[in-house]
Amino acid sequence: MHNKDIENKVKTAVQHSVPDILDSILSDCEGLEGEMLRMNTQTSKKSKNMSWIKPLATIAAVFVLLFVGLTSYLNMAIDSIISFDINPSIELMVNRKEKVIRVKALNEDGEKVIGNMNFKNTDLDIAVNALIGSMLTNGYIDDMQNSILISVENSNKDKSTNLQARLEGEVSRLLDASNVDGAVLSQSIVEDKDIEDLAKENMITKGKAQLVLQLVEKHEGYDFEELAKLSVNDLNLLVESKKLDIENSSKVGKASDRAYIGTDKAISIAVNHVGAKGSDIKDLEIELEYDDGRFIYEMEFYLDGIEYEFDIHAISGEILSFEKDRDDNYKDTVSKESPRPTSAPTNKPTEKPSPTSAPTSKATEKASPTPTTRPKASQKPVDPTKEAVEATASPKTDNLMSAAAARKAVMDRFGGIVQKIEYNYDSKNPLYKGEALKDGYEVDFELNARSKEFKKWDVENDDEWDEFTHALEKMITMDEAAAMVIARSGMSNTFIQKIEFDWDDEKPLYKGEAFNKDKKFSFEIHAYKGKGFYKWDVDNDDDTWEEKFYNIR
Amino acid sequence: MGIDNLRHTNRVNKKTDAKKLDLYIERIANYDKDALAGLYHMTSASVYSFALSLLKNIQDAEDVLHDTYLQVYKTAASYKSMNKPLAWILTIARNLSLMKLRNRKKIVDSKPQDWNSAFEAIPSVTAEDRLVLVSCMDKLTDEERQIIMLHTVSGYKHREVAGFLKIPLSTALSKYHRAIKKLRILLLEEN
Repeated sequence: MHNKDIENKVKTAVQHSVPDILDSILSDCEGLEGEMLRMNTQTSKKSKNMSWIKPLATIAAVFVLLFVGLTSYLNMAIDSIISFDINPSIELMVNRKEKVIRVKALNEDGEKVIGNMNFKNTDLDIAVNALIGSMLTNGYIDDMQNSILISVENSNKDKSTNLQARLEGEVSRLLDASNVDGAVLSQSIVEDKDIEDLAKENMITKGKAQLVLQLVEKHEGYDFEELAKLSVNDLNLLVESKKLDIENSSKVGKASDRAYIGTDKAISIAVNHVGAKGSDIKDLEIELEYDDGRFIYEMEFYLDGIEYEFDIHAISGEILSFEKDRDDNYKDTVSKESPRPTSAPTNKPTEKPSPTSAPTSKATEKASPTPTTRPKASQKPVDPTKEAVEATASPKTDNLMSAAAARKAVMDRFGGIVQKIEYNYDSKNPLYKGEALKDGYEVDFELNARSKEFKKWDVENDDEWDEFTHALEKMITMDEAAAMVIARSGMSNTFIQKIEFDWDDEKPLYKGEAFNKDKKFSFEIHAYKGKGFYKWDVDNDDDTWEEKFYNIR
Repeated sequence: MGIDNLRHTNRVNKKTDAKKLDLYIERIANYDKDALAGLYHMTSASVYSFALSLLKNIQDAEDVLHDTYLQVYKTAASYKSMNKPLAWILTIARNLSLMKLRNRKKIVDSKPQDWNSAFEAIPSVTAEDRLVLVSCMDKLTDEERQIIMLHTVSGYKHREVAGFLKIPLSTALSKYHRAIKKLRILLLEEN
């Protein structure tokens, strides 16, 4: 029995036990209006009498601010605390000039990584370079455990976000340079007594404590003490599997699941168990889950009108639980719907791989010749507006190329810099369009986000490159700018729909737009290192993401 | 009461729910009884379960449930939205419950409730519900029960639970952990 099942049972039991006394309440409310009026008058009188509090509070606040300002000034030796977690956990304290004041190992593995190195007064970048190098040399980052968590604590949010983005870019670059397919999760944290206590009690960094707390808060049934014991890679796998938005964080790369049997193997175990062929099963949902101290693949699918549910041990492949239940509504509901070529997105964040061992994205399309969406008998009717959106949009399993992957594809083919890239929504032909520059040439490209093939690649002479090459060293990259946007949006799956490098000798900028759910972010970022955002506008009521970008990152 | 209505109170819809509750309270301030009914449907499970956690008596919890909504009706005009309407309602329920506890002590030491019979008498409570409820009432400590109810029924995050109960976050998390473990063992034993 999973923790979330217990929570659901408690919730349901309480709901069934609540007495229905609404009529009695409404009847007792009759005639209370007069009393309410009297109370309101008293309240307003009271607030009048308390009016002296406001100026006094303002004066007190000014004194407090002055005091805090003075104290901070006197105590600003440590400006930022940066922690790195894989399993080794290391904390770096740096001053305002980003010189290392102190390095602290928070566990034995951390001590091994630091070894005899002395980082006092070293530049932060050099220290990071050395530490990542040592982690690689000591085998703490490999194909099985490829995730690293960077947490930056600074009282200045912008500074913290910028440093976070820069370190994320730097660590990714170091891993790339060592041919490691790494996953870098970075976050900004603020001073918080609760997080500090949790970190101390569980002997982890504050950064890891914050990440674990977010997982626990965002997913029913997770337990802090149990998750605190997991490696960053395992936590990262859960973030990915559950598609959780971790606030004030951003992410590059994908966590390795090579320590586990993988979804394809889990599916084949379940399918063999029921004696079916992979192509016979419908509505497959599978996700990696952590419960009761172990990783499992939770899976459900339909075969001949019967719903099957499996829990499969993610390491041994053992079937831990297996249930089947006839769903008489299944066929009826299916026959009433018009057929769709592929499975539409469901509310539950799951991937729907094929029951075969072929790669997930391609196989999903093949495996669903019949309609696959149907409300369960107990489900409430869906919002008709939402249904219309879902019916016309491409499925989640489309495996569309992410904005970061598109930029990388251009860079891999051309080098230089991507000067402009914009995603154009089209359900049949989704394209990334843009321009890249290098050494006297410009390429005008179109890249299909689904097939990942370049549809247009026109190279021309262009001397714009010469104008800014002298300043490249002083500027952040487009990827770093994108990471800053993602970090500032506070959601790791924010989609950078458009980003453009605009050269100006005095004020070069990265400009663009990003989307996440009902939010549209318009941004301009100083391209010169360390200068941060020039403009940041958030529209909180934008439906473009829901209509066009919900299935892409 | 429609159970589906109560299902609005969950974590997924929490932000939207806070907005809805704010609007209801705004309308209640203008004596709108339909709004009070809407508010009741969305929050009565939270109020009742929290009152029951504190009072450990079904009749007393029902009284507090009743009085909480009367109090909401009376004081809605003084409510100032801080995006935490449920916390405001639960604070009323807590104050009324504490008052009831104080009065109860003055009158007579009440007998502990026979939970099995008490829940058996409620027709909508299934056998499994009864097992879960009896376990919560009999086997969890007062604080564990409050934490479980606030987290599972009211959809409070652990940090919000800690803030509402004025306990450290680490305590809220470890007590939740202990409570879930206890319930798991009890439910598995019975199964």
